[in-house]
Amino acid sequence: MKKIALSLLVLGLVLGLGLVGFGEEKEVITLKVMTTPHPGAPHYGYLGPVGDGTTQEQIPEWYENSPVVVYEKNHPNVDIKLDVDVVPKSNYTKQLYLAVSANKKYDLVRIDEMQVAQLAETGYFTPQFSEDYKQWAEDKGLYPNFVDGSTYEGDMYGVLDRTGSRAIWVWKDVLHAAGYTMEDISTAEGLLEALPDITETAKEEFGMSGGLEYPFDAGWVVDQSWGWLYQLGGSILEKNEDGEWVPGFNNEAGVKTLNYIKDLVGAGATLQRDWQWMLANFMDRKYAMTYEGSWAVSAVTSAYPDKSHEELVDMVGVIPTTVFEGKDLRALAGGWMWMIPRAAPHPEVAHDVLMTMLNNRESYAHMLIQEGNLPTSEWMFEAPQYKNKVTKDIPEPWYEQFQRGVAGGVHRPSLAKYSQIQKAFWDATQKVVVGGVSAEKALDSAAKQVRNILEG
Amino acid sequence: MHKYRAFVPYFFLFPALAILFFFQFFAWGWNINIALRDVTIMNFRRAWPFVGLQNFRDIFTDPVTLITLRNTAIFATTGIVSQLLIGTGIAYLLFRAERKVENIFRPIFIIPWLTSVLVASFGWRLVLGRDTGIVNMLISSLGFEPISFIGHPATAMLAIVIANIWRGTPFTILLMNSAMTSINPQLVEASKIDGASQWTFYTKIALPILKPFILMNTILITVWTINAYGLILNMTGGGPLNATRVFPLHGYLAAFSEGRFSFAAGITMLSVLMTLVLIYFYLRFYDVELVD
Repeated sequence: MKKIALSLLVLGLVLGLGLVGFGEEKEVITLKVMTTPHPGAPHYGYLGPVGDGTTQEQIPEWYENSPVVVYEKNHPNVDIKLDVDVVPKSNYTKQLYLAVSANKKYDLVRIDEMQVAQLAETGYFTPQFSEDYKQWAEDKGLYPNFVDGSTYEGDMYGVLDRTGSRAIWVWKDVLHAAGYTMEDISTAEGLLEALPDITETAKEEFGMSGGLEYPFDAGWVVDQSWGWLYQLGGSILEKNEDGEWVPGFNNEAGVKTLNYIKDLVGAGATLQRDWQWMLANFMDRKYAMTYEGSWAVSAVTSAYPDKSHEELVDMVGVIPTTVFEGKDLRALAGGWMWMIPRAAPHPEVAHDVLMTMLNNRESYAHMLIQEGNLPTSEWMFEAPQYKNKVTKDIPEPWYEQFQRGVAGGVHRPSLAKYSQIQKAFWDATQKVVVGGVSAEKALDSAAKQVRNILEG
Repeated sequence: MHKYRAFVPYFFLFPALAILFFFQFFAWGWNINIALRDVTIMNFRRAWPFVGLQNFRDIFTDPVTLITLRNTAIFATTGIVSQLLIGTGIAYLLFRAERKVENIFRPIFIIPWLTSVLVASFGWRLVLGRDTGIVNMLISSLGFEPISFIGHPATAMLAIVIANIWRGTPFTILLMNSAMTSINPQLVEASKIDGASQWTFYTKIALPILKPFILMNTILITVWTINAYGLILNMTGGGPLNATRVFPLHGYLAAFSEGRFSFAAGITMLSVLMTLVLIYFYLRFYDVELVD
């Protein structure tokens, strides 16, 4: 009996030790991430849980579908920790430059479309997964402007997986009191014609500060102008006969674009230096209309939680951007993407996590919804996981408008010196709108400057 | 042992000099090196070609540079003169006031100087904001159209000058008030006995005593005002239409918005040179023997 007990004990020990000894321990991989804060995703960057585990309690539905958690389910031997540097937007470019110059070992860095070319040129980011991204773009029908926006010198450096659409938000009661409909102001000319009446009605009858507030805060404001420029047949840059880049705005389209902004101001639009306050101003009913973006939808819906969709649509109207008569809708559609540095300690894992998100509609949809962004492909716009959920928040006419805005988007040229080109056009815009300079003269000067930049 | 005594001071000075060398001269040398090469964010991780004085040529042919120099002159001149006059005036009033009054007001006047640049700039944006600002609330209540102070080139410079004066003046108050307090009361009594008028006392006795303090104050507020681009960056970002883009801010934006590091390094060097020239003229103008 003793022998049997002893044998069992030895067997148990051997089996126990064997299990401990041969049981696979999880490989812990820490992904170092740099991103900006977002009202919908203040800490997580929507890749996966970070820090003290509160993510799981706060947003359990998303937690289960977050890219990192899904990746871990598919790779049971891997335990991914996220180490996220959240940098304010106002300081982001500076921190990006410091990361590039110090060759910081991030695994994933969140990049604005307008910086893709410049940062790709630095050599800090790797194009090694370009073919995967191209395949994904083809399979999922990524809209062409986002393919171009993600590409530098033939390589895709990531996938512009989220975007926003510029949009004019309108208080319909003011619009109707002024004697106009949404249809009337959906064209560039219609808005211009109606603006003096809307402004007067807003001020006199509703005690508002003005009719329309127009952002005039910094260089990015030209994003609004690019849409009109493209509608009118112009472009930021175009290739000449020798295949060289030259300014594409120093023409009739450019002149009409800048004069249109000037005319809007003449018709009563208020130039807003504090764009951060624009949405709050609109929600406080200080203006009848505001040039904001699709992301403002959550502010509108959350301000009136008791209203039905029909009631909201009766109160507030949305136009993606005004279109010149006889022209097609074109609006600048930038966006954000994740890029992987060459110095990344775990580039393969970082890439796999990204692809997990891009291929998992549930996971992708949650990220978009939480951030209040829009997808960049037909595949996601039509995904039930996204559409069914998002149309609960976004009334149907708005959703359709946003999709039109994104699908009709144009991208910025993939040039490393884009920021300098943007500044030249922004200076020209300011000269015309507040500086009393003619559009022709301002654009001549900007074109000369851009030529110097391109040659330099 | 005795023969090494002469080296003892240098031995003790060495750590301080080494640190100074590293943080000042090395940094300066590095800045000069970058200014003479073509370094941008795009080629930062590759070779930096030597371009000589090309960056300085670029700075002076850049159409915005002249505007920024003009802006710097307006911003600095109005800022420095106003801070000196207002600060010295308030310091004098405090000096003449009863001790109780001085003790109450002196800490209050210092508050703006203790406020961080970020808080001060956002505070002023709120005060002057078109739709949110208290100033425009007053203007609207009087029946006038609100003014976009930081939204128009004509008023934006005024807005940043006021904010800078508000933030910088307390230092002058503090320094000049302390300087006035240091005047020997016996001198005041003696001048009275000798029949000197108040004007004579201040111009012939007090002013020469205060001269070194005024000089030091002028130098410090010049350096701070010329380099006060943080306030401007947060208030206007240099706009609208480059109306508030001062020279150092031009450099900052070139480096951290466009990644043109050599261009920015050149501007940094020229800014320091500009400040040194001003200080030289101050020394000549005030004619103060600092060593004494």
